[in-house]
Amino acid sequence: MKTIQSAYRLAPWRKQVQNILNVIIVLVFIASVTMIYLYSSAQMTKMKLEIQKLHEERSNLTRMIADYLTREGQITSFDEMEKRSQQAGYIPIDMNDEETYTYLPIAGFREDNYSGLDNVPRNLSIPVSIVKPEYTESLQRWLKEHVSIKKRGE
Amino acid sequence: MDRIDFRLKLLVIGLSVFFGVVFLRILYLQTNASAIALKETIGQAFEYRTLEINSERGNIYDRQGYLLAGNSVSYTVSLKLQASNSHGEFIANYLAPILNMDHDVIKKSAEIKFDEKKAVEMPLTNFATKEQIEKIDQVKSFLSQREVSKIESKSKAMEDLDSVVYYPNIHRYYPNKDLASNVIGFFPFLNPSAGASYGIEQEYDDILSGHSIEHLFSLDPNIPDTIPDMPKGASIVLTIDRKVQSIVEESIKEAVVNNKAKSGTIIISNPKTGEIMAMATYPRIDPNEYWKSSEVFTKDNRFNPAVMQPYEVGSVFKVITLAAGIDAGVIKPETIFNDTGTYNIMGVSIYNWDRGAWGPQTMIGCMQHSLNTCLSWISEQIGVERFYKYLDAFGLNQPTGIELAHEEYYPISKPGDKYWTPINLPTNSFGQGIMSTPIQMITAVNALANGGKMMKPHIVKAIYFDDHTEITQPEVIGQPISAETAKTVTEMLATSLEVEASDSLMEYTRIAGKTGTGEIAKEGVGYVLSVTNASFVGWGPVDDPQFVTYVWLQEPLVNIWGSEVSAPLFSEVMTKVYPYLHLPTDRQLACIYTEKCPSKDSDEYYYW
Repeated sequence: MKTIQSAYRLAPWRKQVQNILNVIIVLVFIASVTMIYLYSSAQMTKMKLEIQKLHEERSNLTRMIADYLTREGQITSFDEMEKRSQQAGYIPIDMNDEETYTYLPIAGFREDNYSGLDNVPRNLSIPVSIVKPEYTESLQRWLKEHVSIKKRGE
Repeated sequence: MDRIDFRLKLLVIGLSVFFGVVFLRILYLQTNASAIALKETIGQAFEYRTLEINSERGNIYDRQGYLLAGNSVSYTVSLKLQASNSHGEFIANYLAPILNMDHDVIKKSAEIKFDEKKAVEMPLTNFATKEQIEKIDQVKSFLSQREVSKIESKSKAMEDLDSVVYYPNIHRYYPNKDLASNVIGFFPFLNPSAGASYGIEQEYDDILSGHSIEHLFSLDPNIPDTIPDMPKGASIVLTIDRKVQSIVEESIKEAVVNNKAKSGTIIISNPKTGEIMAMATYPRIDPNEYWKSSEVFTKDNRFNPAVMQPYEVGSVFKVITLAAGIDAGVIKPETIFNDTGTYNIMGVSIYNWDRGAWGPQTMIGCMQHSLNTCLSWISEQIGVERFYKYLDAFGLNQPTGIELAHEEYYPISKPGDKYWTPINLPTNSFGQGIMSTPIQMITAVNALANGGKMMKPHIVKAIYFDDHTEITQPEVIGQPISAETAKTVTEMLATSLEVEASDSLMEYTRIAGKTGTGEIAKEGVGYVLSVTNASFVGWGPVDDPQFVTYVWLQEPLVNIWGSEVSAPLFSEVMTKVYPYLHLPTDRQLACIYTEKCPSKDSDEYYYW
């Protein structure tokens, strides 16, 4: 009588274990990707909120700078200065009496067109760091742009 | 077994076809134009938010760096009606003393019935200060921390100021109020979309307002985004000095009020550079209350008459005719004109201002007595074509190009024009039938004070952009007369002024000048002497002119004569502002550069 024997390259239990492990590896991989994705998303959201907060602060600072400059302008306005000088006991000089003021010649001095401009405050702009493109562009777009640059280079 | 195989194959084919169709459908949806458009529309609506971002408006400074126009923070305080309804009394009790507003107005606003489509929020004020906002916050915090009794909790627990909200705004502010408001113009901060009006604000609206962009912000947290850097609008430095401007404004106001004039204008310029040191007019408005401009200014009384209101300047114009005559070589200072009291042309008689006959006069005498007949004769000697060429060369037939909005000019009627007749030549020669603005006149006279070279008038000294600065350089725009003519005319007018209008003379500094009393033509009546424009133009020091000043009083009622109202006003103003222009008097110069300081009573200091 002819005996039929089953021959396996791997024992069935081994194969089952292998399959389970494969599924676990895939699950772990998916979980890892998900975790990385969630982590980066959370970081990104945090960063975006931070940007919004900084922007708000920047707007406040800009408003405050403008306001303080104007308050300074108000305090040093002609009427205010005149009022304060009178309170301090100063009196206007008699312009008809030329002895009250005099001129001294300074050899070589010539008033240029730029005189007085140093007193004017320059525009104050708070620098803003722009988000670098690598944080905003997709891999696909990056490849597309770099490939097209290379092609143009050729 | 075969049957099972067949069924399995059928299942595989069926599933393949199914997934194939699904794949093709996905592909179709991904590439179809209307599907993409729909996706974008939905994306725009739900994934992005569009925000308009405006940069801060640039400042305006005087030549010393004092702020003339800046930006200030104020707060809009509003009530959220959904929460404020039925709490009007409570809200008004707290807000009225803080905002200095009427209790009933706040109460009424708070009780406006909430309607999701029509009435959601009610603004109370746009100009609350930071201090007021801090007080509101304090009250809010106090109310949120209070302990509510059980009885109160049933009836009043909901009463708080949560319905009160506020937003910061930046608005235009003019710290010096009406100082130089005719030059600055105004920005309507209550209605910014209307744009700036008049003066520097309107002329440089584009560069002052900086940038305005609409930015699409992604609501997706995975797409990081920043607010683009919005540099502030450019800042502008003017050539005017606020101290000088203030003195001149005070004087012109006093003169207008005392003489019951319609308006008054004074311009002081530097003839060597064309810089405007002061440009004062009256009436003016405080640009912080710009809405009053429509009540104050009319067609006959413009926002800035110095550049916007051409008028018949009268005898001041004789300066131009005299310069043209000398330059053309048709007259000399010692040329004699025999004044018979009339000058006839085409059957029309031209008379002097006093209808008198002054007999033989040198050209200096003609100017001393301001003889219309003499100037008519000079214009005839110059000739029609050449006379109008001179007027063109003096820039009187075009706007000067000063950096102020709405500059106007009145085209000169010339031979060949519809309304020109040969009578125009003599009448034009003494400033009748020809209209100029004060800025045109001062620009023309600058040529006499600057060796014949005419400088472009400018009131902007520098513009500070975010990344660079532009400084206005003096620009020669023509040489209508020779340097010799300029010197001769200046000397003649210095001599004639001593007789014509001694009230205009300055102590210790010799000046040249000319008065003008321009009659005003009234409809259906013609020229009437009772209503005039009283003007004066003066420059000095004669040896090396450093300033040119133009004075104009429109329709003074108390005294109509330029020699009696405008000339003394010139002297008063220039005496006051002289030290602030950093100009030594002739006597001071003589004391510095000569060994012997002339006595105060002596005339020798004129010739240091």
